[in-house]
Amino acid sequence: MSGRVVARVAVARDAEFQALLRAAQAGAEWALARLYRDAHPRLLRYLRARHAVDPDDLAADVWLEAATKLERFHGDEVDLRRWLFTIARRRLVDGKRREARRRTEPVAAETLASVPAPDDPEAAAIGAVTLETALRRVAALPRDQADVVLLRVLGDLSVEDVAELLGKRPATVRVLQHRALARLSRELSQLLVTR
Amino acid sequence: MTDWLDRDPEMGTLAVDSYLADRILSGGLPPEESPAGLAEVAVLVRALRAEPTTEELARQEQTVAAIGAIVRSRTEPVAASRPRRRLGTTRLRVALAFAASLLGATTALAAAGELPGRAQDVASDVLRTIGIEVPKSEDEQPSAPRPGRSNGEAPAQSPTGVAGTADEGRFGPLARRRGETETAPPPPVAGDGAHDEVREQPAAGSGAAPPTGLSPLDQESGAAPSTGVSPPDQGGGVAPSTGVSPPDQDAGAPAEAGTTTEEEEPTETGEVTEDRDPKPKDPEKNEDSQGPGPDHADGEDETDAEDADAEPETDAEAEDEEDAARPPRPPGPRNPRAADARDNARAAPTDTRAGPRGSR
Repeated sequence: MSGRVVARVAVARDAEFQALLRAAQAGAEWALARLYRDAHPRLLRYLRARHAVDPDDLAADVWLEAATKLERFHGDEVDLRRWLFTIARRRLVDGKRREARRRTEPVAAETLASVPAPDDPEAAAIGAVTLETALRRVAALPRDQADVVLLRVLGDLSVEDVAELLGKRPATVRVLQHRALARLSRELSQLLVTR
Repeated sequence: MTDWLDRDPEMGTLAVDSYLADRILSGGLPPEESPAGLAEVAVLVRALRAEPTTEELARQEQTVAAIGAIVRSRTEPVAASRPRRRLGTTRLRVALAFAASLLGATTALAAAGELPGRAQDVASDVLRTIGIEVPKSEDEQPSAPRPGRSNGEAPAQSPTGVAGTADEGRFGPLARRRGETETAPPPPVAGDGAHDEVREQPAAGSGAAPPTGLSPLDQESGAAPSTGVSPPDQGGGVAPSTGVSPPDQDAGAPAEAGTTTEEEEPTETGEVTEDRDPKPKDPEKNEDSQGPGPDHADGEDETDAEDADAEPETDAEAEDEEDAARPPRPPGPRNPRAADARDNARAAPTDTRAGPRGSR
């Protein structure tokens, strides 16, 4: 596909998104449903991989906050995703700070059961990398590396966008993503060898 | 750059440049095309990018409905609340304008002394606190009753620009004394006590004009309580001392009642009347004459002149008595014209038709 065709497709896609955005800003539920179907699974996976206490409620809060400011939003599809992930990450950090202040609060059994184990023998036995397995693997990474991988994969954000969102330099983000890839590769290789 | 990457224990021996990392993370590199060691990562990234599951979209309806309600609530009320805000602003402006106009009108009425008694007192007290002198009501001025005020007249302006109380303090008692002694014409102050008698003269049905010695304001208050401008058809008959006479009435003796009010000179003897006024300004003569006023025709002026000739010594004697009975003049600016006119009147007391006032 030539560059000119790619540009035309991008322009057409952007025009389609702008029409969708205007309808959503007017309150059309069909447009809001399309935006929701595109972005909500990504937000939910991000929050789950980042060990959110209640990912579903947190994702719903992200949407409600975005709804209050949707009429003032201007940008393309990538901008909308970056905006939503910014809200999600801020709420996630706020939730973790509240958890840190309530150290004596007991953790529910369901939450412990959902915490992924990096060396899950069941997943290794299955031999297929499902969504849950992938989330567990990424969740096992250090926090910064997990953030970079999740935002780059789920948010389709560039290194610069991730750097801006995380408040880091692009070079730092590149280092983090390289380390994350190396670590994932090493762990997955060991898992396959073990199997 | 590969040196420090190779030495990093977390990096291992995996050779991943930025371009390859971007392709893997964006899902643009299929696992089968990935280099060794990265195929598993490509599989993991593809799993992360999998299609949404039904569990993930289980709350779609509720969440989308809530989002739509929020978005609509934030767009519709904005358009609906703006006119309300404008309406509130308009009401506020109207209320402020009304309050300002009401305050201004009240202040103007208070300055004119036209407020009711208690309100005038309150307004006087309040305005005095901010340095504005406003006359008090008539109830609080026992020394200077102002009957002319009941006729709707405006308060007279004093020479110093202070209305009401100051005028009465200067002219009121003096004028009342003059009215009692009937020796001197009253000052051009409305509502002087000396004109109570004068006001009764036209009401007696004698058809006489008000005394000529009255100042124009006195004529207004005494004989012309309401009109201010006499109709033309009254020219031949009894002219009830109008404020301004039409030209056809002024053929013989022009009425100066209206003209003198505009001069506002602090005269005591009514010198501000017009030059062609042949009548003396003596209140005594006015009472004696009962004849035509300055608005009357020429024929009636003869009667007035004859009356004046009948008692030629009256003016001089009356003025002497007046000077003797007059209290000392309060300090203030003395009108040289008034003084000159009075001196001239003393010099020629007997000739009232061609006196100094007429030739002035």
